[in-house]
Amino acid sequence: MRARLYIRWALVCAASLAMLGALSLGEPLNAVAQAQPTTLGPSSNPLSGNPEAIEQGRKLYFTWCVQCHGPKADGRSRFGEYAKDLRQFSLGYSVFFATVVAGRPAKKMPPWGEYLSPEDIQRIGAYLETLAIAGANWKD
Amino acid sequence: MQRWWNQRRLTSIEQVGRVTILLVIAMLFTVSAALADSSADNIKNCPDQNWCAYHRTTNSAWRYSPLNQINPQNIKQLRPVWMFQPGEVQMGLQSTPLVIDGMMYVSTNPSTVWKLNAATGERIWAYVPKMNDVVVARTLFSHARGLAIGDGRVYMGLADGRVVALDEKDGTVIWEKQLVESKKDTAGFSGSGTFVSSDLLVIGQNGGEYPVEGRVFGLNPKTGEVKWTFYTTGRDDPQALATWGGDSWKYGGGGSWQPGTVDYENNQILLGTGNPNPDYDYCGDKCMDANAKGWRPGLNLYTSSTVALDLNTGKLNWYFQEAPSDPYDYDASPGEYVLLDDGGRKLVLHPGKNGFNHVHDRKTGRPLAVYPDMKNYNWTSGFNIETRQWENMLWPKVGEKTLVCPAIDGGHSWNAGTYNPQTKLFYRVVNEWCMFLTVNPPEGGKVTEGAETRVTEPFAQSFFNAEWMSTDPPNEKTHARLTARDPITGKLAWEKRYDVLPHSALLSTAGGLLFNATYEGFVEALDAKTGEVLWRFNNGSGHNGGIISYAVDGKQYIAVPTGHGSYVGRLIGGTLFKDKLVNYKESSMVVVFALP
Repeated sequence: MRARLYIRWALVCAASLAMLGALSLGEPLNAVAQAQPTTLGPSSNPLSGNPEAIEQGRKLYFTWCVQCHGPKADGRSRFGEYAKDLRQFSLGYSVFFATVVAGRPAKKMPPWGEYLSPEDIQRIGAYLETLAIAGANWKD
Repeated sequence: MQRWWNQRRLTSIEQVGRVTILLVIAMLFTVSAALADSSADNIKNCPDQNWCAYHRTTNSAWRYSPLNQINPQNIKQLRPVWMFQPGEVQMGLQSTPLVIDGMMYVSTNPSTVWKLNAATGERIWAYVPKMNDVVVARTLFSHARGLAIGDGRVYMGLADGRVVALDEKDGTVIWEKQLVESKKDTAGFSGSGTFVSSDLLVIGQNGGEYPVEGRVFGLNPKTGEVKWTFYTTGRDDPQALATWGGDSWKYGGGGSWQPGTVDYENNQILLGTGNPNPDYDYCGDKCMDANAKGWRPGLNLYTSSTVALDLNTGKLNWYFQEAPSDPYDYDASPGEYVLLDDGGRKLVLHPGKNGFNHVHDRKTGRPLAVYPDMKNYNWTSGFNIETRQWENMLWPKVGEKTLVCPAIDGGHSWNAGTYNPQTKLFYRVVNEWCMFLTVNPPEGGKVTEGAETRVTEPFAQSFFNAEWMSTDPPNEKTHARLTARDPITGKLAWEKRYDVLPHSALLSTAGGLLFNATYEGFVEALDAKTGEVLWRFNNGSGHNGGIISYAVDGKQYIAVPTGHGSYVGRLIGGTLFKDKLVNYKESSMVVVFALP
């Protein structure tokens, strides 16, 4: 049942991604993110602001995401600046969820739907919201 | 002058005789051409016109071409004659191409093989495997640095843990074996294998960054059957297992991700093993004690070591650890194993990531000379030949920012140097750079690259257990030096400084030339005796692969893999020298040069 639920989630998410495919995820040339904390607007993540979820999300982030997105979630790891700066994730909670589930293998973002439950993805999102800087958007 | 056939009419007998002679000559040429194929004998004794293995030869690793058509007198006439763009730019082009009888074989990322006409660049075939995209996306090592060839087959280890043998003629798969369960281990293959004989192909997996058991495989090249396996963390070897705390050897990494050199005389292959996992441990100056508290306390044999493996059995003949209990990630996989003869002494030289050159008796492994090629090292005061110990080792303390030189990317990186038997000099790029290392406490923390703790289920995650930042050596800027040394004594003949670190494997030739390629885009030819730059050409992109030379129909070529990429390359171009390499982007191309 759980597996079917994930597959259903994955399909829904993949469809959302396809619709959003035309959106550019790129950065302006040589853009430098201003690492100023920001007051985050409303979030669609049901676990947003939940302290327990945030701590669990932090542990999950430092297990599964940190390799590429780096310890500060700014897309910088020892392997360069090649991953998305998650502090300024601007495409909204649904796209975040969909991207984590289905991945973007062409950009070396693996699909995580097989390994992370929907709740775990929500927890990671809740943690990332705490790192938000100007430009971040978790409402969709 | 009149041509000979116009001088007089030939008699019938003379005509028959001359035709016969011509036929015999033609047959001799045909036989000669047929002999210069990829038969095991021709791989072991590489014909001058070919580039038969990653380091050109399997039994010396000199990266020296006996061709001399291109020389200091005519080098200024060298021009590009063809280019090949595979269109796969992810992480650049990190390969060293092979050339057999006018055909080039080159690998691109993540795991594609191309066969090209080496005189024109015309595409003959491409092998593009269907891969598990998820595994390829997860691994840090989705690149192919080279191929092996022999007995009409091209061999490649894939990022998803398979090894394949392709038919040289048409690229069809002859056999395919899943040797590493990459879906679980995440590690796979990225370096080339070594074709030892018609009965043996040796290839190692990567894995030092993953909590897995690293292995080197001896395969039957005809079928892919595993003939033997060497476990780099010591499975079934009491001497090695005693150097690991608890069962940490099961997660000890190691592996061996660059090809070895075959010492046929002693029936062994010499190769380097990767670093133990995690890359950094919190046991500080207690780390060499297997009973200390830590992720992997103990010497961690046989990681970060040179190992000599018996060709028949894969059993260990000798080992030498280049960083005991490796606290710095000075894994010994990178660095070529250069076989040298010195007045009857049979030696092997290994430039290590630790910044030193190591010279051993290749039969016994006895270290005969261990000298620094790098100026700015602080992890040891040196190796004592008498006691056979690294002295005054630096042990980073947990949670404290410690200056460590060289940096994690090595005094010597993975792209190789070259030995020239004419000058009797060994040429190598050595990097002068350091890092600030902060090792994670046992309970984890936010100072980390890679997973915060050891993760093996449902699949392995990279585990470094520290954070580090590149920094300059004390009192000078990060830079590189191309050194030309007597390989045995270490006596410096000349050196050349590079402000931006080059990251290409070198080539030397019988024409008295040394080729290097820079990260700013230039491929350059130097006088091998003096280091004087004689010729330069801007390829328009950085370099991360191996320069080679070969000949087709008597014409000598120089082939240069170009393109930004690789982890060291990204650090050079994307971080350290961003101001000089404006808007650095990854790229990939082969550029081939010849005289007019």
